[in-house]
Amino acid sequence: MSLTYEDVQEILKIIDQSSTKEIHIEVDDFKLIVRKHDADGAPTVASTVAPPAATASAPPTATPVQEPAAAPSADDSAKSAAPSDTAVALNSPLSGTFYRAPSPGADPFVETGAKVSTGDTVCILDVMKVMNTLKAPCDGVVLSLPVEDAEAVAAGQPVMWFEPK
Amino acid sequence: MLRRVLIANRGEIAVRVIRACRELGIETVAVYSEADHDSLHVRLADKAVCIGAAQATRSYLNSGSLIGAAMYVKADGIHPGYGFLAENAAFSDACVAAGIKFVGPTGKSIRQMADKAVARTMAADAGVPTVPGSDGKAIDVAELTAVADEIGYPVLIKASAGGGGRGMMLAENPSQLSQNAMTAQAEAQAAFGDSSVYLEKYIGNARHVEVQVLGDGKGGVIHVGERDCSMQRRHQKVVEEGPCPVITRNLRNELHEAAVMLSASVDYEGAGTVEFLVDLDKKTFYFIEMNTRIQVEHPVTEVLTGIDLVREQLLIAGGEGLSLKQKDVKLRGHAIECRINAEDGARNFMPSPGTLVEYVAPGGPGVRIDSHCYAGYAVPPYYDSMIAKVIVWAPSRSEAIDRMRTALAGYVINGIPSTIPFHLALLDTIAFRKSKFNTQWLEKNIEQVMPQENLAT
Repeated sequence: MSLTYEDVQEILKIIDQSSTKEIHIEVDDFKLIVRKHDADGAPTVASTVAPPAATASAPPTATPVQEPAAAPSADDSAKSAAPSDTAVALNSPLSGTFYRAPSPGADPFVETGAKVSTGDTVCILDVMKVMNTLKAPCDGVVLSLPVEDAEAVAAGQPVMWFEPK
Repeated sequence: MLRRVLIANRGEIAVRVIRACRELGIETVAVYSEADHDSLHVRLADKAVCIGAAQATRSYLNSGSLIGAAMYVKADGIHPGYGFLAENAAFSDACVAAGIKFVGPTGKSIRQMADKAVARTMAADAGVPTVPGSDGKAIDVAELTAVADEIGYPVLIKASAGGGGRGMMLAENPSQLSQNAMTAQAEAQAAFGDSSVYLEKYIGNARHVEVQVLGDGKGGVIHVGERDCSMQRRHQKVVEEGPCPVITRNLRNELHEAAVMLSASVDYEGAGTVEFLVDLDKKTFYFIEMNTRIQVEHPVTEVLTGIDLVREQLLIAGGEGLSLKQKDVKLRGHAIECRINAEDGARNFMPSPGTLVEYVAPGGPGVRIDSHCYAGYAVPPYYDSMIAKVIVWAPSRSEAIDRMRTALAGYVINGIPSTIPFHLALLDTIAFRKSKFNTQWLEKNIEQVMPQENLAT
């Protein structure tokens, strides 16, 4: 199975007309990843097509587009390091998807530097499509937000740090 | 006849569609996210395409990837399953634009029926009674509050693009309304890619009864009996059964007729479900919504009638029309379905993704398991928690309950908690045995069915 230049043009046209920001198609030795840039809305596409392997025994070539690892790691030290000695972490109770805002496009619950009270809703954790609100563990100030919006998080992974008052 | 179908879904429904395709000699193409590489549908399909990252918005909800993949593998049909893009009119239209048959109704039909607000108006026009509520989309909190004040509390906030209870929340007063509206919008956005919600008066003492229909797209519509899905928790169906054990023959006929009338009025194509609330006090019914897709609980109807609904969907989409007439539909006996979720029934149904260390499914006469699970499979945290459906058939309701007990007691799932212990407890309640419950019963009696452990936070 192969894809012609016309096929790619056709696929790009469909993406261009839709609200899709990214497409990802990967089958056997073929991989196509296209991302629309948000900044100017122009269809600046970065497309990569790995050519079909000429022979069945050809060793797999390195995929030209590096994807972030799908499974997050709880002990990613760079991300989970406490920003200060007194900082209090809000750890994700379960693995799931982290959201900073109540709905897409809405303002985040909190930004760095925001004052919070114990029990304030500070983010949403989507576990199997159940939206769990996570609460501030202490009175204080938001120190840092080590996790991006809509990013996958592991159970026990810190998603926010607070400086208690 | 379709030749090669891409299944734009995951989990048990993807497996279900692959099996139906195979029986019809249709080639199958599975799609999967990076988190679903080891899922059963990927193994079973003739071909599999990875369509992106774990988060559904970057894979199963990404119409660009799905249509691009279908074009790449030269599929002539896309089956959307349920959830994800199954009721997305733009996706149905995009399939048509790409020259691919969408296994389901046209974008126009979806806009009319899957948009719950428009559907209510259509139903009212067809003379089918509807529950009082907002007539159109009421997106912001201020509008919702105004409508709620008018119709009176309690009210239900529901997702316009939704179904399956996602994005649905109860509010008993104005402060609950503003609080829950945000959550409902977030859930609706995450589940359907559309955050719009509408409002409906909440009818307390009612049963949820829905009618399965099949339409040929040219005005020909038959019904395939009804299902009672009143056993619900947080507006999620927990147990479904058919036929509805608490309605009279007259009411049943009225429901069937209303469903056929409504579906025929939009030249409905494919499998659909018209949902009603049966008010137990007033002995009357209201239209709630139409689901323009195959539903989770479709096997209840299949084992009651011997009709393969997914096969019918594929035949209709392939231009073969309806293979059945109304007189061919014969219901016999009683069927029950239990939804088995990866949730801890004793700890407030906490989602419990993880690896199935041991997995042995039950069997025997009248027992059907629809599942994508196997020993060693890791249930990912990114999607719905349903891991299996157990469907039983027996000549009578009480025999069906006994058969379900036996099946569930023999279902081995180890490694993660499941809702099997909860279902076993539920089957033994007098309320369920005697069918004396309404849509609120389970929520109010959950402690009685299964004592909840105190959750240390």
